[in-house]
Amino acid sequence: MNTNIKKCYFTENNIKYIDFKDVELLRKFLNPHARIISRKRTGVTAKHQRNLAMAIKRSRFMGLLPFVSR
Amino acid sequence: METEKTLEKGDNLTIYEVSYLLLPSLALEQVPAKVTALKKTLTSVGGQVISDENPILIDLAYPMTKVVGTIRHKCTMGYFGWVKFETTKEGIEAIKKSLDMDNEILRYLIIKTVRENTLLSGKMKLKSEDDSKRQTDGYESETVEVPVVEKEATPEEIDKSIDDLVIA
Repeated sequence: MNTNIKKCYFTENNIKYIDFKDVELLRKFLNPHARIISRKRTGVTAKHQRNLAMAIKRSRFMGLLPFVSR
Repeated sequence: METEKTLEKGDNLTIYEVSYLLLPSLALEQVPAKVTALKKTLTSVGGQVISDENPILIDLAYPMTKVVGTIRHKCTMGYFGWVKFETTKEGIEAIKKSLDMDNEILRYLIIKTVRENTLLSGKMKLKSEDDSKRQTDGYESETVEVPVVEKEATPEEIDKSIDDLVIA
């Protein structure tokens, strides 16, 4: 039944604070167009998805991540 | 000049982090001086530096512009650095003002954060990683061994290749 349920990356790795400077980590949650992947696909919890989105947006502002790509 | 303030126990201290992009037109030698000047402004308004990382030249994900006077700087690169520190509400306002006035800062971001180290790898993985990779490649013994192997086979191979060339 529930074989496809993904676990939250941040809960599993016990990451409490998502830093916007962790570009490598944030890239995992972007698709090739540099859009944020929905938590439906990644299995991130709602709380972590909010923090993740904020970190990605901060990172974009500082030019570490693109707003659009391709 | 502003008078140096000292932190009191009654003050409500908050942990902030200022990350900044310096203009790439700045020479590499000027960067450390700029960083010390920036830290001085932080401490002059009663801030206590917790941790920091020195600026490194990075490729920006998209071009940015900074207008200074009548000159429009279009940048595709920038020195990215950050400082984590502790200060009061009044302190951060003063810091924001001084950052706004700074003509060498392409962009900056002030965020509230926590005292603990939030970076997973401890340090940022940007261009510095590539540089360190290149450095380690230079020191690897394998790269030295490869030409030696080639040398052993050279006399015969050279003869063959010369013969081939002559025939051709």
